[in-house]
Amino acid sequence: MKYKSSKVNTLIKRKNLVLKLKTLGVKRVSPESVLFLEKFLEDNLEKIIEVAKEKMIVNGRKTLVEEDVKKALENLNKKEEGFEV
Amino acid sequence: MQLNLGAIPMNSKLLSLTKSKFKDYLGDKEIFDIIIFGSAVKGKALPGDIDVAIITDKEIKVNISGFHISVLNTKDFFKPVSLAHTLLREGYSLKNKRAFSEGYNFSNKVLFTYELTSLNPSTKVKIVHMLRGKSNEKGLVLENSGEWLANQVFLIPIGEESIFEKIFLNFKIKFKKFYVLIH
Repeated sequence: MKYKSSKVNTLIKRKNLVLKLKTLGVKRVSPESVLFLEKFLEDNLEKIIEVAKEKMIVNGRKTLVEEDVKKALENLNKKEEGFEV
Repeated sequence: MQLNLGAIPMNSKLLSLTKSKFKDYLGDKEIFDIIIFGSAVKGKALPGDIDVAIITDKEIKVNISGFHISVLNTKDFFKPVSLAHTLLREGYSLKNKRAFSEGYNFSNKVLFTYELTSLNPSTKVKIVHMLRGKSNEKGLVLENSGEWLANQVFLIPIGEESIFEKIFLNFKIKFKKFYVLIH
């Protein structure tokens, strides 16, 4: 499988992502779909972290706790568009 | 006192997204400037939509999803009530890649004053440590390129306004906020 674009996601290894897709019953994957999925995961993870970080600071903490992440996800889900593609 | 008059730290991702969407308009010589303003420049983690003002004297209608676009002409800058005031206060020029007010040698800041009298002693200490820092650590104000002007009075870049406002609201601290242009 050849990928035209460089790797955008540094968090999830591409081979693991392809393996996950295959274990979930996907027989073949196009490089574009893998790249798109990588970008989507990376972008939305950044979004979650940004909101969770804000929650952490606003609550006067320097430690990110589970509650911050949960509230960040709640906030993101409350927004009409949810996760942007 | 030496004031930190640094430029607005714009969210780079947001900036590149806006630039790419307005790429065609940025090259148009009849468009004087394209300015981002509102929650996107105030440091909100997730701005709902991005407010953009296009300054031009030609008749145009721009519609891009995710953007709230206003078109201003030069006459609007001389009206008593106009969006131009907001742009001067908080706008970020896409053409000049700096705050709109910096074009006029102004630096835009937000001045916060607050009172801790209504809080219990432990919360008071927490807030002081948060804002001013503990022992050798920098507090939130200095970390965010702010300046202490007096006790319970500080200036911060407009890009960090949102977070401080949220802190004050979260801890139910009485505060006042003023937009200032420093020459």
